[in-house]
Amino acid sequence: MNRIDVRDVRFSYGSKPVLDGVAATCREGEITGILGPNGSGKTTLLRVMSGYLTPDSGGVAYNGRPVQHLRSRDLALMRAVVEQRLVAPFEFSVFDYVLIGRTPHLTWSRPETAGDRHAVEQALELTRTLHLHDRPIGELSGGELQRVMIARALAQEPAFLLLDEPTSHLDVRHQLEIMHLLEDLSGSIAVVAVIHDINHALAFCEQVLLLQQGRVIGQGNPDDILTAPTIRRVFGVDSVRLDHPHLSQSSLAFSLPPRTADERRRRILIIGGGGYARPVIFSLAHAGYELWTGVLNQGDRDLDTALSLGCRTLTIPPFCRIDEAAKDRLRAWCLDADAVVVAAMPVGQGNLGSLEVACEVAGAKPVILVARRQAFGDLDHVGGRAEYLYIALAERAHVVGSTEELLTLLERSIG
Amino acid sequence: MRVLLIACLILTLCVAGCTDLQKNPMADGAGLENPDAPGQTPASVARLVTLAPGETEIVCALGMGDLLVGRSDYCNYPPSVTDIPSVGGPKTVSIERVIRLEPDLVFATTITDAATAEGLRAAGLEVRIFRLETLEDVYRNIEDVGELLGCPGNASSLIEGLRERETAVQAATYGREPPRAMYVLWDDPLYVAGSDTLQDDLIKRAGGINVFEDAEGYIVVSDEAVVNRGPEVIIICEAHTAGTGDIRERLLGKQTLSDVPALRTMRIYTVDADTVNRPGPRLIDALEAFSACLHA
Amino acid sequence: MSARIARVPLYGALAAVLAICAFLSICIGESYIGLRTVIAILLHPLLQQDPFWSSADETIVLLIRLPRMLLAALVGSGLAVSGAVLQSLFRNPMADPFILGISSGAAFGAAAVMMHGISFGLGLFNLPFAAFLCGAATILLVYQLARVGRRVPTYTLLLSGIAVSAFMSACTSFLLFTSQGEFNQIIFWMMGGFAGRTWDHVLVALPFTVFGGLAFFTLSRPLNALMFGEESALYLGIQVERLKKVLLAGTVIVTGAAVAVSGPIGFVGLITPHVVRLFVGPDHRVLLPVSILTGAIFLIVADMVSRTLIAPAELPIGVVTALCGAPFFLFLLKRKRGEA
Repeated sequence: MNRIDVRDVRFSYGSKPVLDGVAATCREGEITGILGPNGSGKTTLLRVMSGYLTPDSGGVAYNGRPVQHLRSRDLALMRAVVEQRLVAPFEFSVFDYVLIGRTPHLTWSRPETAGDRHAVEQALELTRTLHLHDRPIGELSGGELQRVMIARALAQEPAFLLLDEPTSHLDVRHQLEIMHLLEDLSGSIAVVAVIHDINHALAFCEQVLLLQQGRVIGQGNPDDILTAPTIRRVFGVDSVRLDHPHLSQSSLAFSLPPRTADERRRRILIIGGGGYARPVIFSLAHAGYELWTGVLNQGDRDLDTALSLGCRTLTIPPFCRIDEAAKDRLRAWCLDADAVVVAAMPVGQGNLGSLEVACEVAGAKPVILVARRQAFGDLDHVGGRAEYLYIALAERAHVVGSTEELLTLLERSIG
Repeated sequence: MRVLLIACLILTLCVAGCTDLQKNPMADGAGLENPDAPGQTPASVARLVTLAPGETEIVCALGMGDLLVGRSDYCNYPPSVTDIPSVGGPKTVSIERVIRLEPDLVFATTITDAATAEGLRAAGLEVRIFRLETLEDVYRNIEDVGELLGCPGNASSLIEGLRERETAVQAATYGREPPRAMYVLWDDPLYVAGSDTLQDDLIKRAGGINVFEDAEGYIVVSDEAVVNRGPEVIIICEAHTAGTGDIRERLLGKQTLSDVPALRTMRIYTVDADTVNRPGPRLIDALEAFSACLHA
Repeated sequence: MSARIARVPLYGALAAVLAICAFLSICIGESYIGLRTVIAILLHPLLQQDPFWSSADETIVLLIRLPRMLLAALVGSGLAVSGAVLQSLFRNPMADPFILGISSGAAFGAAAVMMHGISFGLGLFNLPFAAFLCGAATILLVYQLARVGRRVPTYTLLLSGIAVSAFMSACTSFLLFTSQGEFNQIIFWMMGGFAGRTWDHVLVALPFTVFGGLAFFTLSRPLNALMFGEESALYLGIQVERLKKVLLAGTVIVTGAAVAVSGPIGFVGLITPHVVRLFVGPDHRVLLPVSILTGAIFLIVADMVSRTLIAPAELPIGVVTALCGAPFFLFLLKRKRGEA
């Protein structure tokens, strides 16, 4: 099993430390994504891993062999590197350019053979650039060029492939094509890539290495590492996790944190459940409010959304009804919040308690009901009690029909 | 952009190439200021500076050496002039030193840097520029100097003596088959005297034919041209730069020239550089030497 | 432009042009020697025919024109291939074989030897030897100055080369200016040329040029890799610093030998690789051999022009290379750009 071990690497340019004790292991069959904000040391780490830069302390080993003990040619027979940018005489044909990848396999006395040409053609085929064969590389589009650069690395027949931002400057289709290509390749070789796009890391990497100021902040499964609080800490942005309607994958949407970050964020308690509160949770999270939600049964669809957006949640076990204790806590939370938002939902015996609390606090706190007035009857599954409570609430609270109205109202009433 | 860069580069190269051509250290003075007509001179000259050895020799030969208060680095004849302070070499004349000597008159030549002559004039000095290209120039210069320094009698008797010697040289070889000759300044590459040079003039007056008279000035020629023209006599001047080695030995050692008659018959002669290259009264010595070489 | 040109016909065509130019160069000269005579003289060692020509003709063909043509070919190919290598090494199209100051160093050596009469007891080769020595010493100085730790970044190399070159030129000018007496010889030497060159010069230049040219040729693959940046080359297993050292040493040997026997001849090393690149692209496996052939053709023709244009006098060959080469190159550049 091919593996690269990075052990406690420290590296500095002059007196400025760039890598401060980085350790990692990258294996065959995995794509390891190196992530981090600009200047966090991603490219430097890749260069240290590739053997181009020698660390001040610590070391890199390929299959247990320290990189400084490997002859540069032997190293080149094992690992290939795709640089971020190509400085090139543009008249080279794609074939001749990719053939340069065979350099470590050739010596001056051993000219290229059919085998070498075959390796080149295979690399071109893998990257689906065989049709470009005779084109000068100066005439290629960005996506073609990036694929051809990868082809050159593949022509080296490496066990390790190191890439520095292979999808930068590409349009979305080419980005995805490259990432899928890497996914295919990672079956037989260890792929390490500096990745700019966090969503690519989520979708394609088996392992991520999150760097901040030369230190590893997190290492492991991307879903575990790339959580909203971590992303907020490392990149300084808020993020919302969105599920893809067809694929079993989710992606993150990012937004700058509210401009008045130093002021106390307005706190809003959202009463919902069964997925009916999701639009409200998204839009309020997006607007930068601090969100609490309750009372939700564990397993509720709204609960997932709330957790993914970093809400504080009040939960009870699945299929339990809201008891007096839960109602007390919800009441306390409501009084702590700047406003209470009720997302209209079907009400049964289980969640009747939430609605009761909302009605109770409506005099003491601004309460906003997101609902269509004429639909109250349809939401009642407890024989009129819920409809009555909705109508009572509608008299004491503001009623809005959409999330846009809600946002405008909140802006006006609590800022 | 690249085209532009390369165009600039090429232009520079061309210009550089051209200046190299002009850098010929033996430039014949063409294009320089023409010699002044005589007559615009101070009434009497008491302090004189010469910037060329040929002029120094003329002044001394006229018995007016006492007037000299400054000379050039190259002025070393007659030996007594070496006591006179020097104002620099032909290309390194110090205008300040000349001015400090407070001369009434400065003798320059067409080889003197034109800017130097202009500088001296701008400083209010009287500067005379002489042309020094042929034997006739020397005669005329002697006459002019005699007039300028107020000793025309000395001048005409000097000229008379020199012309007599010239006539004697010509008479001695009259009627003989003129030998084909070549005057070599340097051997690697072969640098020879063509027409319109002092040495071409000397070869002709000494009763010879310059094999390179079809080319003008001092020229670089190929070995082939020498083989093809087959000079019977080769005259070289005694090298006076340190380390130049012996041109004669090197020419004799050249396998490519072994068929040249002059080298086969060892008719390759060395003459004193100072007499051959200086258009002064001793040019007649050089003429006699040339004649001796050509008709030996 | 097709990046993959059929190589064999290309080499064949160039070799044919080279042969024709070489033969013309032996036929043409100040003295008229008939075609039949030239051929007979050249084939004499093989056929042992009774000579019907004069010994002067034989001298001119065998001892003057032939070595001169060969020397022009050697120097032309040496300078062209060195120029191609250095342009790639520095990834700078303005690089030429003299960019690191080998010619100004050699000129200084030549001037010093002539001025001060220093002798190494080498006779005719006193001056070439001094020129070579000083040229190589200059490059060594440039290399040491440019070194940062164990690496020699190419841009510092380029800058220190330019600075040292200017310094050496100034030293030479100072020597010339303050010297007593003639300095024709140095001026001639600095203009470069093949007048008066003999078989001895050919024999001196031959091993260096052939050795250097072959060395470069074997390095064409690493050179290709180097064109995509030093970091990229390193990833391909090339020991970049060692490669740079070898390439520099090679250019010093080839260029130094050329400068020693013919003086610095400009333009060949700068323009030939560019012209060749226009036709065959930047791949060194083709670029280097084609540069060698083209450089040889270029200087043979230039030398022919230099000795016939104002015969019997000779034009400095640097003037010919610039005057003929520059417009030709610009013409090609324009036309190629027009096609593209």
